[in-house]
Amino acid sequence: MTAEEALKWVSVVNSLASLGVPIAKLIVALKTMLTDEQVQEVLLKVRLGWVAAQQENDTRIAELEAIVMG
Amino acid sequence: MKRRLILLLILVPLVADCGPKTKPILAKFDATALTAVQEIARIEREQTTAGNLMPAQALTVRYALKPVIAFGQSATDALIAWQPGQPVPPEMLKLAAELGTFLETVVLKIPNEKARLALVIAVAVAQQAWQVAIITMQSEQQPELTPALVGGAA
Repeated sequence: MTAEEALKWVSVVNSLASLGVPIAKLIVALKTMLTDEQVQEVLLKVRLGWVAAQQENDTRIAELEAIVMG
Repeated sequence: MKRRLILLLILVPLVADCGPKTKPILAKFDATALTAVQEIARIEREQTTAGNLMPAQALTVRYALKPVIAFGQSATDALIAWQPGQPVPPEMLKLAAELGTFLETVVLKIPNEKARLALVIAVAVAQQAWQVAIITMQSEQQPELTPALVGGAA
């Protein structure tokens, strides 16, 4: 399983959870284990995602401050 | 007595040494928390444009998102360095707690129902992932106790 496939898999599990699939079934699904390397690859991509989220948030704060403070 | 048992079941896996499933399940929670933050950002823009959030309210949401993102980054760094046998990184606990604080102190106080509901759903998905993480860690440490907790039948 590549890192991209792993991320898609995470997305599928998240979608199932949001649709109310029982947690016990999700645990069964989670027994499909990723290798250590795949988990590290996913985490490095998530790390980049957090950095991008911080940049987006800071930009939006600046926009909203300009509006609110006139 | 039952409450004490449930509390014990929740706390034990977080302070005890964790097994090989812990890292993938915490990585999943981390990715879900990031997805929730991205979704919150999208919803804030959408609801502000629609007039359901005033700019000052949107700014409150964005200020409150800052510590969540900061804990997300530190939790991810800690998880990258984490090895089986170690306790759950404290940064991960802080990320889960900060999402709860964000929900209670900001989202639930938003007066517009449409905006509030959209944001509650985004946070709830991440909280459910955290719940799955806790239960999975419990199953690694105390497999005999997990069926009762999951199924609710003793």
